[in-house]
Amino acid sequence: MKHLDEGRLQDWLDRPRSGLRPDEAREIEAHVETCDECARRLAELEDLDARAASILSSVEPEDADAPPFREVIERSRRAAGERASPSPRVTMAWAASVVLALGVGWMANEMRSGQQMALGPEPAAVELPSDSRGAGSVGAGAGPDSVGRVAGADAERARQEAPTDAAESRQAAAPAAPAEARSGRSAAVEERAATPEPVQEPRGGRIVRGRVTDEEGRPLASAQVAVPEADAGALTDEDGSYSFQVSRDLVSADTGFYVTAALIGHATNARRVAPAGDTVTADFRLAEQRVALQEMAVTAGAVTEDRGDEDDAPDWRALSPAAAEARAGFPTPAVPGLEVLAVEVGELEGAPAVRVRQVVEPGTVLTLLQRRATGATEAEDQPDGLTTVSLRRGDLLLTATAALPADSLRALLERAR
Amino acid sequence: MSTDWAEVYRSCYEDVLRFLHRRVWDEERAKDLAQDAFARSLDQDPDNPRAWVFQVAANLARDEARLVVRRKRHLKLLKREADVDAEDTATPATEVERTERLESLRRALDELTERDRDVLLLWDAGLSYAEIAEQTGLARGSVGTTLTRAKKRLVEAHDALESDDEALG
Repeated sequence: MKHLDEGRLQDWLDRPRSGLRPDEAREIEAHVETCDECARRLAELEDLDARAASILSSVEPEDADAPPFREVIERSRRAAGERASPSPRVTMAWAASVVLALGVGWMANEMRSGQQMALGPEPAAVELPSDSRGAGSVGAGAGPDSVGRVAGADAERARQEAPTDAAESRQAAAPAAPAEARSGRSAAVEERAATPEPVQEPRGGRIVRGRVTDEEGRPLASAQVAVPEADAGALTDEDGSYSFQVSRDLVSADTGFYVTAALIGHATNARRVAPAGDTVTADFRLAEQRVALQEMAVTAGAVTEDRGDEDDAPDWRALSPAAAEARAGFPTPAVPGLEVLAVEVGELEGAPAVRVRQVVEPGTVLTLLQRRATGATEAEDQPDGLTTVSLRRGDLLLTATAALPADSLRALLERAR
Repeated sequence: MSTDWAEVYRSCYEDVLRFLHRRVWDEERAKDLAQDAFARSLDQDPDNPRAWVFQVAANLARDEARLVVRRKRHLKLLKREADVDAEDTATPATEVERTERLESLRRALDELTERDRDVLLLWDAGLSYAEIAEQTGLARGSVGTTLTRAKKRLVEAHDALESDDEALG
């Protein structure tokens, strides 16, 4: 009898889940009994199995206990609710307020670094100093995959139902059928060939374009339009028009992404879009707003949201850190070493609260919110890409929000004083 | 709707969490995605609920990976800062050690091709060869050899990293 190949031996080691039939197993056992060579290789494989298993289990999740199943049910209901009423008001307000800070952060950074910010008539693509380009090429394989998963009819529907219902197309993350799902790449290619795209744009990018006007429809030049999630953006030209490219890998077709428009003296606007093809059009009308400059801080009051809902965010007043401390009655929190964009004092649930915005790095703003801890801690729904982490210190509750992974954010929060 | 998702959740949550943890490397995020994977499956009635959940989890992990590419630099940034003021952050030694183990496992797994890594992690999560084949698009008969190759690569990469570290002191 010939020697057994590695796959067979591995099958034997992994029975029964390898699907090896008992008679096949006996055959292998009989051979190994009489063949030293195969017995030696089997022992090696066994050793390899043990080594791999021990390496893999060298780090286990610290808390592997399943949370109650009802949490899953609630989560599923929430997702269904989102689909029914696509108007996450609070979420929008948060996103927009963070984005305003982002805009300011940009500007501060651009100025500090001494680069000329193009304010002229040309629509200048603001290439943020980020690795988004490199990321694009690294993740290049991910694009077709996601197309493949939005299989058949779903994809067609997602294309036709333009930018309204992001949550619905998110459903596509569930496999259409397990069998086809991971055959992935080839399915994606076929689908691509079968449905010609109306607009052919460069591979790997989506074009975001549109126009920014004031409430009377007059064009606004030099407004900052951005997709924070992808660290991409551009300034509008004299006609109020803008256009820029975002990497396909960085903005998810399943969940849509935020496009934001900001201009000093105007309320920042954020809008969620679900791409229906390679081009996304997002027009903005920005309402005028008084901006008070005080020391180094910029105040932004209410944030308008596209659907015209009244914004119920509390009023925040920009103050110096010392003045904020005097007013709030507790020290102003900050992460040492990070530039402070703004310190604001406001009220949350009737108690004084201090909000501090700091630049983690260009394009990423950390929001620290500190207040007296009340018994109730409400969970804040965050738009995709933003994470919130809370820390209780004595009778103070400190919350950090930023577009960072939770562990990074926790590390930052723990350094705050 | 005959799938008893509560039961599937009870029996598979830990494996799904483990799988996701090795894909996203952030425990909180892994927990979140694990719950998400089940939440997205509740209105489904698949033939093999367990394989289904892993499929959803793998998709979520892939979406996450796209974001993570961009976020990696933040971790690097934080690490740099943490090195600077290491004196006043006095992390417990066990925690440091765990982070080191996590980092070396992560780097070893990074040496594998995406498919080999998927196969290995699904195997580690306890899926059958048939389920692994279905999810990865491999022929049923190549799962065993792929697994052997993936394990060899993992062990080699892990050993190489360890000896590198030793060489560096």
